[in-house]
Amino acid sequence: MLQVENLTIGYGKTEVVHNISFHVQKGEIITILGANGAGKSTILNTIVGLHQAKDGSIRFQGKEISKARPDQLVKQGIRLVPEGRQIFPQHTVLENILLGAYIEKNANKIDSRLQSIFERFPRLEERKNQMGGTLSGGEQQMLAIARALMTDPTLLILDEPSLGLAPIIVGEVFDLLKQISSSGVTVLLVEQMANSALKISDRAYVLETGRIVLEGKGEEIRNNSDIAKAYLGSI
Amino acid sequence: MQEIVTALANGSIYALMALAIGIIYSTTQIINFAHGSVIMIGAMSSYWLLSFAQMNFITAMLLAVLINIVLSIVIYKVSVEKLGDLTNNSRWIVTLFGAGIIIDNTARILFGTEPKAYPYLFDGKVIPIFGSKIMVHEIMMILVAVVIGIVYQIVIQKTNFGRAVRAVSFRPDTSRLMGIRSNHIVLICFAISGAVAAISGALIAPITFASYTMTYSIGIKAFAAALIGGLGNTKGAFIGGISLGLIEEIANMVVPGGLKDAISFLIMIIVIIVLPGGILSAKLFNKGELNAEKV
Amino acid sequence: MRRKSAVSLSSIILSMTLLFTGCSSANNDKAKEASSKPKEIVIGNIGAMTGSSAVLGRAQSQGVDLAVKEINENGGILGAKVKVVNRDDGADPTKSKTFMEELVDKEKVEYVVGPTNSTPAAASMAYLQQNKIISILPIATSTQLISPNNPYAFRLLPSNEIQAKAIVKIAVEEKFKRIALVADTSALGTDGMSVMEEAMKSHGVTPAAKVTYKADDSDMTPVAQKIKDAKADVALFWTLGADGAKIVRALERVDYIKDLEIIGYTGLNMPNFNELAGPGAEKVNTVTPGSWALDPGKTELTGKYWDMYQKVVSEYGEKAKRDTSASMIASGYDAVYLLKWAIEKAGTTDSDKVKAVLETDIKDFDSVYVKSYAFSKDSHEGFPVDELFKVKIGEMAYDEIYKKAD
Ligand SMILES: Nc1ncnc2c1ncn2[C@@H]1O[C@H](COP(=O)(O)OP(=O)(O)O)[C@@H](O)[C@H]1O
Ligand SMILES: [Mg+2]
Repeated sequence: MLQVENLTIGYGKTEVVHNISFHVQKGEIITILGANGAGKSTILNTIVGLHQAKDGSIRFQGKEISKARPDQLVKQGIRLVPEGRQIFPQHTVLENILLGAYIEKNANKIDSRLQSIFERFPRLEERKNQMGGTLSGGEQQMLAIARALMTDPTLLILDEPSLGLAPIIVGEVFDLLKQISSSGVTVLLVEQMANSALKISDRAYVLETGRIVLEGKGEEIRNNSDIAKAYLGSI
Repeated sequence: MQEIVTALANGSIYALMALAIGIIYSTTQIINFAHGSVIMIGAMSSYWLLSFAQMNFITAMLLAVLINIVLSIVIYKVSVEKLGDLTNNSRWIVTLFGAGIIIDNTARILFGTEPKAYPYLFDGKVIPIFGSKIMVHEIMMILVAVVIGIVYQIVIQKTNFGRAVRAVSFRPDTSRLMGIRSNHIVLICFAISGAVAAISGALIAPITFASYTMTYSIGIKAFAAALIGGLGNTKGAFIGGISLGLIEEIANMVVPGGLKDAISFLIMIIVIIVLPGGILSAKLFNKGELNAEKV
Repeated sequence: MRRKSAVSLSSIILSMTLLFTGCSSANNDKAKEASSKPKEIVIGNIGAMTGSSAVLGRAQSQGVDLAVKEINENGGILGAKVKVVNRDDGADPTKSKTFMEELVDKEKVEYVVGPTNSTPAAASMAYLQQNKIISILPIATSTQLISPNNPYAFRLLPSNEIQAKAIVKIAVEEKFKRIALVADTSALGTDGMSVMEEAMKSHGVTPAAKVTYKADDSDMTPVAQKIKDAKADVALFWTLGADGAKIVRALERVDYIKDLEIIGYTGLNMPNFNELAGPGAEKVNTVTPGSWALDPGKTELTGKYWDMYQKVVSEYGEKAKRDTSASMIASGYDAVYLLKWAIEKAGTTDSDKVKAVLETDIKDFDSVYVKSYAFSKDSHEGFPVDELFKVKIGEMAYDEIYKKAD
């Protein structure tokens, strides 16, 4: 579904991602693991069109997308839940969700999706007229995911969804991702906190300072404590 | 009474101009220094359509609005969009000032240097209220400004487009992740601000006369009003505009002529120092909630 | 270190001294060069030919060209052909100064007409005085240009000071009792206010009110209110046209225009003043050179002024076509003829001798702009106060010639 080949990315003259390749197949949950500053966000932002690669190709369902704009990619079914959630704090919860459906002009579709979102996230329905900024961290993460689901994406990409959340909430988030995946959405995830992510992942890549140094089944990597020590610090 | 109406009428114009500046500021964080020139083009073009093409007021206004929308889009395309990311360069200061100068000089060549008598609305009809003469035009200035302000508020608060404008003004990149084309939103904001400028131009031209320099002194007051009310804040633009109108009228009564502006700008500087976010950022208006609403 | 800088300082002083002595000896040579049989007389014509003051600069040039053409067709000056070197300073003082130096040093001009605008004139005046070059200012009106500091400068148009004296004199002579003075706070307005006050003092009257405002302000109601509060019967306007028109409208709103007469200096005049000011324009007057205003009931100026007007029209067309003012063209024309007359009377191009003729024998000069210029040893202001007449603003024949009041 997503094919990344020989991708090189930088900011100005400094290169931060060097010639990486990886792929995501339909229905999979894929995790890219890496320490802070490894280049994870850079890769994701490049996939969704916020940033331009220096070199290499990104193909989605066979089509080259490395030059596409974010709005075009949203229309093709790629959604990113950005690092730090980035909800709109001075929009109400409902407005945040509706912004997620900005490109959808069919009011009926918006209504029915809103309905199913509220079924899935009853907390959000309760708070729909509250300002986004007044939600707790966990609720904001749910809101950020709910917002992305408003266009029925085929590929959902999440940048460190566990960041700054209490362990029990992190569990909830990953359960939710598993659910979403089982409803037919392909999931690409980047994380520093490897343990819970690997538990739900089909495959994983390990990124170190802009290079992929390892790839394998989620379970394998989780159970290999050498890898954990070498690349991930502690798991 | 007449003083109050004059203060409100002038204040409404400052408010409209501040609103138009704020519309652009809120989505781009840039101050459109060419705004005075756009207002002038609105006034000059409607003047020529009225007096030479002999159009009726409504048609002339609609065309002037259209001309201003096109002009604003051109300004955006040529002197803003080309600069790329605006967060880390301030070249827009030069390009927008430059655009203003080019527009002014073009207008001088097209329309000449001589000020023109621009008709008041309702032929300058005066109605006596409480023993003073109030011009219907002044009442219209207040009404039009209030209507535009309210309509803009509704659009911004209640529509899809309005939500997107607020989103872009707060988090342009995240907005793009929602599928919003941030630069289209900015472009539309430029267009709206141009349209508002055409209307402001038609309302002030009878007072300042229509000429290529008609907004030189009033334009700077619009920036003052915008800053007093808090840049990019619609309600603030109105509060800033009206307060500036009132401050000026009071200054008129107590200080010798010619010092009025000095007083108004002194007050503006004090407000900016004491309340960097403008009057609306004062605690009084926020009741302990989040910081002042952005748009 | 110290020593070294002391040495270089003294060498700078030395070279500067040399430079200055060099200069003054050059001047002496030049003075000797001036002869009674010149081959060619070079006149610099400088002013704003482009930009917003272009109508003034072009009027000056049209007058100069017309005069030079006639003079050369009739044997020149002292038998020498006249050559004009033109420079367009665009009303920019820096440019004007540079051009003036070029005119003097490279083009070797011996006389100058212009600059048209006051600030460029102020900027380039010193250089002309150093080089003892007579300049005739046919347009610029700033009071300070004519002073003992500029002994070689002569002015033709009524300066601000003369206009102030004239409007005060008219108000006093017409027996107005409560005179309000109105001016903006720009340099021009402040200057005007102070000369009007001085003129009032010399007539022994005090103003009923002094009203100031910021130029280009949009709300003139306070100005009108202050005039009304002072119960003025006449207001002397030292204001530019658009501002003056706004004040007239404001006077109408405070219901005072019917009780008031307004006399403004020439800056108040602009082509569509009446349209801008509305019906209140009825009460507004300005001043104009008497020889260039029509007597009541007449359609032609008197004698030579009408001839001059006809000449302007046949050479440059009607007002609408030429845009420039005929009386200003006459002033530019006079500038060249003044030089011709004074040089021939002096019998030499020597500037001190020509200057002496202008100062002492001026009543013999036959002018097409005024009846008689007022130059003297003490004053190089050519325009006589008595020759400014009150006229109703906007009441003009041929788009440019005022009608005197009945
Ligand atoms: N906008 C930027 N400009 C310059 N350098 C950046 C920018 N964003 C990230 N970087 C640099 O790129 C590298 C990778 O950053 P990032 O992709 O955010 O890492 P991660 O998401 O894995 O923590 C870091 O060295 C970071 O300093
Ligand atoms: Mg990151």
